[in-house]
Amino acid sequence: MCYLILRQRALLIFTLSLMLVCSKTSANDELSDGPGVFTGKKGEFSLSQLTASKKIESPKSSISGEEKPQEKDVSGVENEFELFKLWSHSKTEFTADYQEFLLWLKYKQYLKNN
Amino acid sequence: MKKTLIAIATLSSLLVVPTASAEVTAYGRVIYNIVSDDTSDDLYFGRHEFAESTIGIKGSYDYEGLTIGAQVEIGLDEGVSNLLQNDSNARNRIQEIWVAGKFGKLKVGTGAAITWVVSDVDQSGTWWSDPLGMSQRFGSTRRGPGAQSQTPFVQTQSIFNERISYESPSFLDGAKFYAQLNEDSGYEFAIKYLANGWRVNAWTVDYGDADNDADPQANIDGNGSLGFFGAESGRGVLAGYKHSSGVNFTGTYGQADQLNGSERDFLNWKLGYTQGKHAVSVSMGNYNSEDASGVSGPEHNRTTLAYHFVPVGGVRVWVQATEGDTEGQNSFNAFALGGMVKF
Repeated sequence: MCYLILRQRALLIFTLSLMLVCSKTSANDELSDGPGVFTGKKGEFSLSQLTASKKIESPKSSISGEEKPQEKDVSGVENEFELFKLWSHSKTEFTADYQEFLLWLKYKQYLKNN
Repeated sequence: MKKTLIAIATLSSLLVVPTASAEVTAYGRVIYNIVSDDTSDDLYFGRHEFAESTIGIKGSYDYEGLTIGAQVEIGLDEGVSNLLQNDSNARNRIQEIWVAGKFGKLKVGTGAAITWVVSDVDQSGTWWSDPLGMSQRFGSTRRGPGAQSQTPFVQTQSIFNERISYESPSFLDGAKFYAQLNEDSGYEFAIKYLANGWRVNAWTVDYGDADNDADPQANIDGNGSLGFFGAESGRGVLAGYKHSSGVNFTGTYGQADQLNGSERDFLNWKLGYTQGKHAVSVSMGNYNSEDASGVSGPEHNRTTLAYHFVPVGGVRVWVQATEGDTEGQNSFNAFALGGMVKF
C-alpha cells in the first residue's frame, strides 16, 4: 500500500524538479471551451450584432426619429462640441469605447500603410 | 480638426445611449461519452459530470465605468435513455446577475462556485474527457465500484450553488482573491496566482448547514440531510506549470471533513503534453480515509491515460483509459470514447 504513495510522491517531486530547471516559460490561459465551429474564435454568437446589422439594413427606420427618438443630428457645431466632450470624457476614463476608438485608429493606420 | 472628425465618426453611436454599450451573446455545446467498465456488462452513454451539453445566453451593459451583466445557462443532464437518471433532463447551471468595475466583480445567483473555478485547473488539454481531472474525479470514467465514486476532490468543491461571490481585481501581477457566501450559511475563500507559466491556487469551503439544498424544508424542520457527498468542509492547494514546449504539470492535495466525523484526503497529479491538434496526458490519483475513531480505510488509486484530437476549432474527440486499484489490488478498468462540438 505504502509503496504506491511513495512511488506517486517520488514521481511528483521528480516532475516538479524537472520543471524547475526549465527556463523558458509561457503564460497560461484560463480554461475555456475554446472556439466554436460556427461562431469562430470567440465561441459565442453575437445577438447584438445581428440586431445592429438589421438596423443598418433599414436606414429609413433609423432616421425617422420614431424608433430611435434619442438619436441626434451631428452636423451642427453645437453637436460637434457635444461629441468632443463625450470623446474627452471617454479618453479621461479610458472607457471600452475609447479603447475601441484607439483600435479603430490603428486600423486606419494599417489601411494607410498597406 | 481631423481628430475631432474621427471622433465624430467613431463616437456618434454613443449619442444614442451616452457612455453606454451593450452586448448579448448565445452559446452552446454538445458533449457525449460512451463508457465501458468491467464492473458492469452495460455500456454507459451520457455526459460527464459537471461538463455536460449546455445552452446559454449572456449579456452585459457598460455604464459609467461599471459593467452590469446577466447569464442563464442550462445543462442537459444524462442521456435521453435515462437508465441512471429519472428526473428532468435539464438542470440550471447558471442563473446570475453581476456587476464589475475597478473594485472587482460581484455575482449574485446560481452559478459556478469559486472553489470549483480555482480547484478545477487542468492545463493538459485533456480536461474534457476527465472533467476536473486528476483521474480520480469521477468523470467519464466515474463508474467504478460505488463506494469509490465519492472522491475527496469533489468534496472540497461546491461546483454549482446559490451564492453571492466576489472576485477581486488582479494584484501582485497575477493574483486574484475570491470570497463567497452560500445559502445555508456556507462560505468559501480562494486565491489564485498565475504568472510566467506557473500557477498556485488554494481554497477552503465550509458547507454551513450542509443540507446541499436537497430538501430545504428538511432544514427548516431541523432534519437536515447529509452535506455535499457527506462533507461538511474541505480545503486544498494546487500548483502547476506549463512550458512553452507544450509540456505541462499540475498537482493538487486536499482534505475533506465528513459530517460523521471521518476524514478524507487526496493527492493527484497530471503530466501532459500538447502539440498542435494533439494533447496527451497521464495522471494518477490517490485517496485515503480515516473514520471518526481514527481507523484508516482502504486506499484507492487511479491511473489514467488520455488522448485528445482537435480536427478543427470547436470539435474535439477523445479516448481515455482508467485503471482503479484498492489496497494495491485492481478493482476496475474503464474505457471512454467521447467528443464535443461547440457551436
